[in-house]
Amino acid sequence: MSNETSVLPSPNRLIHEPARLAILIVLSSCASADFVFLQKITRLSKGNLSVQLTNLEGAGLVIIHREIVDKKTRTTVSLSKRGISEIADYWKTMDEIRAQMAREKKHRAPERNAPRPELSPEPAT
Amino acid sequence: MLKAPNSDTVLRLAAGAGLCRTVYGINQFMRDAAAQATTNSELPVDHERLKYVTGLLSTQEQGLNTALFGTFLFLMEAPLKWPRGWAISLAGLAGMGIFFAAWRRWIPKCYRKRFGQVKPLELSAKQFAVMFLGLIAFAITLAFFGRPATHYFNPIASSFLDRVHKAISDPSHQVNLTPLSFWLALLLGSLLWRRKIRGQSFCLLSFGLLAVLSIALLPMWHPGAERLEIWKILNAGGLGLTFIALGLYDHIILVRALPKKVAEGGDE
Repeated sequence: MSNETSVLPSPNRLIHEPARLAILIVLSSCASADFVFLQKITRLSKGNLSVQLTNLEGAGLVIIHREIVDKKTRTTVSLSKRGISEIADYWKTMDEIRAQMAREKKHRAPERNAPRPELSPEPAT
Repeated sequence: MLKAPNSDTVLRLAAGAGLCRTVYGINQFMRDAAAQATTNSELPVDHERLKYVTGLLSTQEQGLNTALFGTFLFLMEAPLKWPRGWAISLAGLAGMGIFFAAWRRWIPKCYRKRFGQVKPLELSAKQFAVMFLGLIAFAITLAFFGRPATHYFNPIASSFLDRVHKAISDPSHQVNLTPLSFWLALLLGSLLWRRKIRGQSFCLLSFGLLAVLSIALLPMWHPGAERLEIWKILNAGGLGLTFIALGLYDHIILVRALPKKVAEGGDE
């Protein structure tokens, strides 16, 4: 058996966190989304969403654009080029983990179904 | 006798243990991260739901606008008996104005306020190139094979179009097949392309198809049905009703997926 099964690729932990992952999935299926939509779809509080967006912006994964419309600030968020490639890499990693787990399961199935080894009869005293 | 495990089995077991540890680590990390990150009790990272709802809101035609278009179509097609007079004409004009204002202004504004705003994905350069090349290939094919194809298909197409024209030209007296074909196409499309979360709409599409099918087939069982006013209205305005149902369904999905108020937590 090759050694590749023992080394699993590890996903990017910045993306792997559920709240940030939800934000990135939403952003990857549109050109841009505003703060109201992101808050409603991820069901995060304003503060939490703001913190997560700041983290993602700090990592260079998203671009935050603020503008004033009708005397109110409208925040629009979109994925950066790096964000697009990082999320693509993340899915690739997850697919690899899934494939590896499936391979492992396949390998272990015959062992589980194999008959138990027989014990030798106790020697007569 | 107890057999000693061979080296291959030992390696596999060791690798399996490593894998288990890694998977356990990932799960543990997910659990810890979710506990730190979520403000409310649930944060469903359901990819299908997220993508579907985002796609639904980013479409140009919002659900309520589709329903409005359906209402307009229904009022135009259904053989409703309107009283005559200048006041009615004036009301009709005012109604048109209200329709237009709702379509262009009120509904988009209401959507922006209630659900937020999403810009749809633009066509990438690659997709654009593929589309452009496809169009060129189609044009070349048409230039070479257009004439023989027209010669062969013209009689078939004209007889088919004649039938379709007969079916839809006088919908108040004949069975209107347009809604039936529309629902059928939607159902087939949903079976072919839609996945998990869109499975919900399978029920709606099946129900809609059944409804238009029963309207279309009713005169076969009850020959007098064609003379009923309600049958005439449902038969002629079937397409409008279809758009109303689909638009309202999309709107209900958005309302359910995007709650009006999100719980505020002190987690900042």
